[in-house]
Amino acid sequence: MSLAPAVTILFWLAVSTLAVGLARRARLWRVGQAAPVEWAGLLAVPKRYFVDVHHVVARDPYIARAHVATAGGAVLALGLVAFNYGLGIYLPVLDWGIVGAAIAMLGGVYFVWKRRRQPPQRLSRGAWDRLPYTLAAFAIGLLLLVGLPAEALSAAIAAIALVFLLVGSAELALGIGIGAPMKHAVAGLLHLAFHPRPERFEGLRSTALKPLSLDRQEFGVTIPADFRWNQLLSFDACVQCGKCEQSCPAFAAGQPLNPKKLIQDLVCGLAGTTDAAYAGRPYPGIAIGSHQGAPHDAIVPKLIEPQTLWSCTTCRACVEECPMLIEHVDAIVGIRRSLNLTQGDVPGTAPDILANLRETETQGGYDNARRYDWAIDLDVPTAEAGKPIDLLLIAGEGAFEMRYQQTLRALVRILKAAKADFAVLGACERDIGDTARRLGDEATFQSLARQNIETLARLDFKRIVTPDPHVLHSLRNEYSAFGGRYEVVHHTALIDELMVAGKVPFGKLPDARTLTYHDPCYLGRYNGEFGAPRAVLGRLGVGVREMERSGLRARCCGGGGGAPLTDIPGKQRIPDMRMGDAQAVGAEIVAVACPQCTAMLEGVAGARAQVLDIAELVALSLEARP
Amino acid sequence: MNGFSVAVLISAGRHPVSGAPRACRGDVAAMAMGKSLVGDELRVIHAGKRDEPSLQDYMAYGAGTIDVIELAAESDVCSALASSLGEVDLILTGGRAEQGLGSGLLPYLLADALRRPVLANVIDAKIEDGGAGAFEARVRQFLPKGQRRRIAGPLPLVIAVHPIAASQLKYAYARRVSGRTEILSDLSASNRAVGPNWTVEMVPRRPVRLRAQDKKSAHARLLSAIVSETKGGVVAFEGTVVDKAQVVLNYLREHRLVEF
Repeated sequence: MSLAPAVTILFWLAVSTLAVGLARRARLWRVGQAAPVEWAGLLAVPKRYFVDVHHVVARDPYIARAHVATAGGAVLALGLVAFNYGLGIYLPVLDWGIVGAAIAMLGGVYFVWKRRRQPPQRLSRGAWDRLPYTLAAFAIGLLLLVGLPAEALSAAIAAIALVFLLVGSAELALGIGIGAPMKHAVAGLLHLAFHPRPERFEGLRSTALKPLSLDRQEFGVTIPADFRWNQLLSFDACVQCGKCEQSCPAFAAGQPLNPKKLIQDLVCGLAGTTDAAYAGRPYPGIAIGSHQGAPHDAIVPKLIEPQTLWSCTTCRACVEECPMLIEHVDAIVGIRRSLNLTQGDVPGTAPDILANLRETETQGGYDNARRYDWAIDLDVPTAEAGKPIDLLLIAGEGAFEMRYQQTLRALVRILKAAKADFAVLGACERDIGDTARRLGDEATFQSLARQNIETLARLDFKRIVTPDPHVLHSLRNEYSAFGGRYEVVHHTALIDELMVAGKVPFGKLPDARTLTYHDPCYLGRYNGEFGAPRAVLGRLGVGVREMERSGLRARCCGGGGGAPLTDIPGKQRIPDMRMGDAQAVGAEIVAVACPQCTAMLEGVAGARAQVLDIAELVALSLEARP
Repeated sequence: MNGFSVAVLISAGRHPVSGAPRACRGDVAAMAMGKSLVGDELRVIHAGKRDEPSLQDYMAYGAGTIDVIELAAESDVCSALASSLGEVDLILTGGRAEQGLGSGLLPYLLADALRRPVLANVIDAKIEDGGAGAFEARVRQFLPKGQRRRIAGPLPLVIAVHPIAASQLKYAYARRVSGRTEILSDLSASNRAVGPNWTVEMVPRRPVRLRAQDKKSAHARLLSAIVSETKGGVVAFEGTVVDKAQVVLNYLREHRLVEF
């Protein structure tokens, strides 16, 4: 008696179970708001999977290889079963292909199982621990039923094999519908096709923070159903690998944020369940089991506590590490928008800073006319309408801070030494609005952005140069949604360019101390600029001793996203940890390139490395020239 | 429903540095106190222009509907308010306005016109039901040097709230756009105030006195506060003008009052 028809029946049973389950899951996603759908994204899935996902997954080669064997074997086996048994062809040759695929899958599962013996803490347990066993059952069942000749199968072995295959198929087919671990396969692939920020696959730098239409009462995400449907889909793709929690500075500092748990809580909100089944590490200081949600219930505070949302520095380390390409930060800012705009519920000193932004267009409540007081003796021209210039220097909020004024003065000295044609924006400079936007105050951001665009439209310049990566990011990537398109360079890129052109008479740095470079999140991860700062330092004759986490994976200074203002308590401070990173490689100077990083790292108490901006180091070398 | 009515008077605030229209901080504190007493039954009243831009800020802080008593620029605010607010049991105001004369006299003039007492510099207040329709306000009053005192008085009253009174009100943009104004007509018959004939000029910026940093220990500082002692220093009688200037410069450099 051949068991082939049994496999056929089982196959179609599984397919119909999967279809029903998928329809149920899709109904959950479709609770979300409409989003532009590019069906062409489906065609792009293979490229996005094999290039973009692989790029991230390959950082952990062990599990990457195990996954290739497991998933590759499973997909191949399923494909062949679909053809050979689903269509009732029953070619013995194809059975050998199925056997090979099942063996590959079994091999992959073995390595997954082996790591699950003593898993890293970042991995979730619970249902995920079951996965090696159910997948192995699937592979073994398939192997026995298809691989062994019918006459060699005793009734007992056949029954066992069928049970194995049934268990494995249930994990695959039923699991997807009920939200078990295997849902990541389908949700993940669909997420790749309908990603909320598809431009990331083209290498474009952006955030998916779509401007809110305030006139139409769009005030951000209050309930899970306020997310766009493809965002909800993206949360469902999470595999709970915990790469995000491992890289999150707020989590490491003991603040009540864990990006993995946040995404899982949003899945609870989507599915209308509690977080009791969550088997990973909690938000530091908040017990598991206390959260529950539903698609149309408010997210805060029953599903996610406000202090969790306000702990985020928007550094995007989680986004960079996520193998499923989930965009945690945009989700957090989306919920912050609702808290801010509808209730004004923002902790710490942030409400005062936002009031200052509304009333003075500066964060500190300063007089805008005094923004360039630090340049009063440097004879710096102010940009005027009808007077063309090459470079427009925008100093940002750092202009009001005494420590950072030294950096700005150094930058002006360099520009003068290079005889650059530049002018400052002067008294008509307003805050660019980055802090307001990250704190969810979209109204103030939009008002500032519109006024800044109007101001800039009156002036005649070729490029904008700024030492503040937050200003750079907003002007370069976020003002375009309001009609402001500019070529913006960071001061490190400009100095690099001037050095290459031979315009800066720099020398060797007279300081021989060990130096490391701290990548600002908004310059590095947000805008992909890692080379210029290092090239400049290299030209000064100093070797950069890289910290363990640098470049794309650099650790945040703690200064982004308004986190110093909301000031959620933790066990330690993020800048202290970053300074610890610098000390671990024996650095005596930390080179920085951002006013926030400067302020945060300068705020580290006790004996520590000296904090110097790259502009200051270059200016030092100017003076040291014979 | 409370047995008494409460109204808060809000003025057109201006930021001290930028001059931008905003909710006057003292009036926000008064509004917070009113909200804590009667919640949404609080009447919010502005006497002035109907399109005053700062009113939207009050809406963002939760004013809801603002009753505007429309006045021409040179009208007497006090008599207009007095003729509209006679029936209100408790009138709350801020300490002083952020623009105009800002004399802080309005609560007194208003109380005088309505023939009722005024409690000034109030930090918190609660209303107790004395029975038979009589209510009493029990308040904590701000006094200098960290002193506070508790006083009480029967309604009707005018209470001027001190700016340090706790304000739990939060600024929300959604409320800013959902708030409304309602125009009340000015009930006072002849409303033509003769303003004081003053000229307004900028305050000259006073030079800031440099002060050498005190490097003494806390114990020594405590002693010097109790026991009078000589401050030390050098008396330079000898030498040329340049020598004497050098002594001064040395002192300034020593105490890091100049950096050159």
